[in-house]
Amino acid sequence: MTRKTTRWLTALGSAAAATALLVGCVSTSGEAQQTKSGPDASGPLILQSRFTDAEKGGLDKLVKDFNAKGEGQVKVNTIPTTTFNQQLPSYLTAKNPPDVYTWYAGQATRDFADQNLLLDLSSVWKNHENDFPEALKSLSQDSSGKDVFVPTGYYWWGVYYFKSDFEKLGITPPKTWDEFLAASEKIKSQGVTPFTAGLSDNAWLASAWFDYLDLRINGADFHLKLLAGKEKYDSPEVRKVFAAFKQVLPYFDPAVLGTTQNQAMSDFSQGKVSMYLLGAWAQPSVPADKLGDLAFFQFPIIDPKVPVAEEGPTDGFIASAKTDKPNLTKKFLDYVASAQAQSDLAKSQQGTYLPASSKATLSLDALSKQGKDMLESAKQITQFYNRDAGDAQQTPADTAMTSFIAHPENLDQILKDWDAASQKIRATS
Amino acid sequence: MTTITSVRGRRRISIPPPIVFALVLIPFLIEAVGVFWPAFQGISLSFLHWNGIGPATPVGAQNYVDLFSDPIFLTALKNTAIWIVLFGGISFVAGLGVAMLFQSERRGVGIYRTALFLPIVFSLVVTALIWGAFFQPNGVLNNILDAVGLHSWTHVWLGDSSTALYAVIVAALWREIGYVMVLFIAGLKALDPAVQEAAKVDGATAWQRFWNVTMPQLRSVNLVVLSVLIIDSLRSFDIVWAMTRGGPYHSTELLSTYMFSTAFGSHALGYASAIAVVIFVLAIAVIVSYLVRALSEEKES
Amino acid sequence: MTTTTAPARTATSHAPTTLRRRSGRRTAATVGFHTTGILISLAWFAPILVVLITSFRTFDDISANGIASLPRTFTIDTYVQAWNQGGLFQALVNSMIVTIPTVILTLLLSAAAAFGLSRFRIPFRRTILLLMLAGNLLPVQMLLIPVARLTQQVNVYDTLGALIAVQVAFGIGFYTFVLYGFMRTIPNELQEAATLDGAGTVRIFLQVILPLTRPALAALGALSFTWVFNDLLWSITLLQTSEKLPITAAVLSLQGQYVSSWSVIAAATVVAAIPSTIVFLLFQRSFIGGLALGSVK
Repeated sequence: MTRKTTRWLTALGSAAAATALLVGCVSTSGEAQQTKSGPDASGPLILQSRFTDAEKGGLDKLVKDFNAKGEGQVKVNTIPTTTFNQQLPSYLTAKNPPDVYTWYAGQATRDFADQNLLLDLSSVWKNHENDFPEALKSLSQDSSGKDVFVPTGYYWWGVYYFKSDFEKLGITPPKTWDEFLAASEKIKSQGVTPFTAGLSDNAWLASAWFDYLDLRINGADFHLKLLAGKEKYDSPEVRKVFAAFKQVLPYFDPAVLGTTQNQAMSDFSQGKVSMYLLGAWAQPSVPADKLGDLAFFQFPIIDPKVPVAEEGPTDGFIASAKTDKPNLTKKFLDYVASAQAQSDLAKSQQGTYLPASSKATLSLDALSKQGKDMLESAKQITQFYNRDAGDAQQTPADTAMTSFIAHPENLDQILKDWDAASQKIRATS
Repeated sequence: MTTITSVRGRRRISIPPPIVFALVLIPFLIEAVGVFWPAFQGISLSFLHWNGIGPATPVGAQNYVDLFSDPIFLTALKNTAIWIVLFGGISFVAGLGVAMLFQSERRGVGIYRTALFLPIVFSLVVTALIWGAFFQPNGVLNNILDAVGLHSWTHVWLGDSSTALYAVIVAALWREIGYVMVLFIAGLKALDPAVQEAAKVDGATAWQRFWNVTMPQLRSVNLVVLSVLIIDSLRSFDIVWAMTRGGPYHSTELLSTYMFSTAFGSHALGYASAIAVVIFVLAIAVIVSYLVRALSEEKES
Repeated sequence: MTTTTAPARTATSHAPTTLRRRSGRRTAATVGFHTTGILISLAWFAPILVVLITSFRTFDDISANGIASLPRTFTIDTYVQAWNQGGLFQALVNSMIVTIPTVILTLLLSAAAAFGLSRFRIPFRRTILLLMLAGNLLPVQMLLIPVARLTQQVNVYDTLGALIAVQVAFGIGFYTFVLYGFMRTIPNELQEAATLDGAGTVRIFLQVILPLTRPALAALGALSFTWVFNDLLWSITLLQTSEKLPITAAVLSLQGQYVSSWSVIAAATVVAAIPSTIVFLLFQRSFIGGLALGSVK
């Protein structure tokens, strides 16, 4: 062996030894998790917000109004959305975490609560006992029943279309699955593509189809159990979902896997595609002159015996358990739960957001009213795949859905892989 | 290198002055604190299961065992190998080509160099959008192919698992070639023009001059560029993530994107660290063996 | 190329017909050169041209017709909106505050280390060099969380200074390696001559070696500036307050949760690209520098 090689091996060996020694020295735990009692520390309340661009107008007004009240100052940190999503675990486990955060309800919040990272907001809920629907209260609790989330609003999902397009094609919004397939067939026969989705850069849009088919065929209870890992994907129930999806596949744009969201929306706006399963948030991406023409219908009923469930993803606020200003935090969140704040937030979302509080003043346009009625008449509300199952589960879902769209004949393997990937994520995280 | 026969012979300074040690150790220590120490921590993370918010569970080498039975990891490994060969190889050749072309200070050469360099300064989010539009089913590329009568060559570039990786490589090359060009131009500038002249006077053709005179002189620059390309190939993440997120169903998944999605998507930080260690070992294996040999050769000369 | 002028001079001693043939060939070569140059530049510049065009279109135009369509509108509102809504001014300032010291410090420290390693017989010098390079082979994502924890423990989390320090530490290894490669080609004779003249080590470094490495330093300066300026991961990991975020994060924050105004983002991207472009244009003139080697003869 040359001297060079010996030197290298020694270096490598000592590095390995040092690593072994250091295995236990990684600081994976955060600082002490006790909620501070006594008076608040000085300084403004830090609100870490993931609302950017057009969405933050309402939040800015809310903060301004609160600051004007004189109970304390709140400072907003606007962080790009994808960054916020990635960094939230770091923010919450930091030495001096921000105090309040915008976030959404569901598994993600429960995960943080289970690690005792979230402040107990029961006092805030007590003040607003009757302002929120019962369904939202249970959604805002962690697994031990402690309130950890203050909802601000929710939105709906529907199959969007343009009224003039439907008139031209001679279609009326279908209500049942058979009507839905018949309408798609009629549209296709006239040379228009019935469905598309921007799956090349937003593969998660396919999960909307999975969710709704599962809700319509198997019901919300099964769906939530499935997403919590208590049921298997390789099961007869899920196979029924994919059987239904297979019926719809011929009506999708054949290049759907390579279509970007921007392309999909412009195809939809130009009438090359006639229907798109979207959330209400998509409404602002339609050109202004076509907004009046936009409409949606409820995802068709497949099995009339299954209680109707809808997706109503809910946004709100959480607070860090390690905040050094717990009193100011609770005062602020109290204001957030008030009718005024809820109205302000909803108003800034261009008609895509329904305030959570029933006391908020509403100025609903036709679509919002339709969405609200649809959600209120539902027997159960779910949040959407990643919010119910946890963000970590979204990737295997994307893989499964896109693989199926490309190769529906591989269903057996796809479902097995989905189960394996899903379990692995639960095990390793 | 010319040799001088002088009274002192070829003796170099044998023991360096102490200031030299300081000049080397200070940067080394800065890197040790800022990079090596966190790297050890990162490596030790790979022996845990951790989701970033709860307590960590030590699992020994379980992550590594899981890695090698993980079909997504194996796909990422294969894709990364393809990436290194195609992306690295084409960048090297094309970068050298344009550097040779644009190395002299003629009129207009500044514009050409800048055109090749601009992709690097433009943020990826938007350029990914443009390239995405280029590769759309009814986008620019397919329209051009149709226009010249090559309709059978059109594909759903980003949606077809057999073409997606290559489409993304094209976008990545667009950014990388200018970067390689800059490194090569600096290297070509440092070459001795007299040797080229001598070869020309001797009657060597342009290709002979290139292969037998320029390339050997560029050896240390080639070393640098190859190392850079290997590092960049293994680090290539942004462009892939922005265009396809590793899809469709992992056909553009690279080791770097898989590591990112396991860290921040699946919240499996221990597993992600294990992937990172694999990337690191790969990089070391490829570069260091080549470098050690090359550097020892230099020692002799 | 410096060699193209030489044949013309030697050609004057030949018959006039050869001279005309030679200059005819030269014109053809020039035309060929510029045609190739223009074609390549156009191909390379095309996507950027699309970004520029996109930045002048309205939101409705893009959502109705898609990114790749011919523009039907023209507006500079997008730039106004990007500037105001994105807080671009503060973000640009932050980016400058981080990038300029980082580039200067990194190149200085790396040149020093490369100087020591390439010109002197330090024991273990090749090991040290390779170790330093190895630091750059580590995937960045692996280091994000440990470094963030480190900065929190030292109480410098959420400061621009910490970001500078981390960027410097992370760049040193690679630039030392590259500068080592360039410095090694400098003949010993220059250094020996300077030592004979009585120059100390630091003077040799500053007045002999550094000027000779100018093309490399210029190239690396431009690249380093671009790299640090365009960094996103370190800034979002180490910074928590929106006022401290650099331009890359500011451009990202123009993206909505689901819906983005791509023309505004394109406008912000164009603004964000300007500093790096200016730096490159300035530095690329300094790529001329190999002529100093001729002084050895």
